[in-house]
Amino acid sequence: MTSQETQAGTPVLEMSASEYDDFLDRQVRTRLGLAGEAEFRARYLAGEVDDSDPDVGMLAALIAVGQDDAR
Amino acid sequence: MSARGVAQAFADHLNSILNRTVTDARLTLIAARDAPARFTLSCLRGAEPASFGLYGSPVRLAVVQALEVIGDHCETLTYQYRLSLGESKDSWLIRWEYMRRRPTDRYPYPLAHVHVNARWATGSAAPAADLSHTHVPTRRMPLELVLWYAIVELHVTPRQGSWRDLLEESIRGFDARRHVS
Repeated sequence: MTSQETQAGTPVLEMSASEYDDFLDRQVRTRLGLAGEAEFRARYLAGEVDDSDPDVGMLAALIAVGQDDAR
Repeated sequence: MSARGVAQAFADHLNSILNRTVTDARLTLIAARDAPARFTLSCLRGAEPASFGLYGSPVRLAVVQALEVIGDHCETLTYQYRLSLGESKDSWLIRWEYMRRRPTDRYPYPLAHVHVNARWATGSAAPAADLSHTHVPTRRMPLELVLWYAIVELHVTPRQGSWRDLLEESIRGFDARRHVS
């Protein structure tokens, strides 16, 4: 993981694929208690999570569930 | 310009708007090396997405926004803009959410919507007693309008008197980008 700043001062955090996967898994585990991104993604797409929970919407946005071919 | 450069320019712009209007906090641009055109914007505390304080108010804002760079501009794939009165998730007030693409055919809600942490005054007459369960339709919302709402309605203190001009100009850019994409 590397951390830099743009000339204007925006922090930029670059992660390897495995670091990014770990980051997403950690967010899912700590916020919802699920095993990780894969379980969240599957449950979200199956309609099995309660999206009145603000962290469900946050995780769906963070993981960009279902946005793999967005255009 | 590289995809990274395009995303950085967009992040710099949003941080400039935030820092000239409602907060000293900055959004971090998160890049994953195996997805060179995909980025996420969020304020981080350590390595965790977190809400940030707004001037002169107990109101806090959390931003999570996923981006894809297409050519020379950023497309928003998803966002959640969440206003709250504290750091606990139960203290949320309003949250705006968006997905560019319907995640599954079974997802029945408008792709841009707002949740409100409130109950219907009509009580049991409403089909869902709790407004937080409902997805009130909106258009895709620029972050700038969330800041505008926080200043005007939630008494966040703007950093400068010209906040309205700043936000209006930035919203015009948002509208122009929408017509391009």
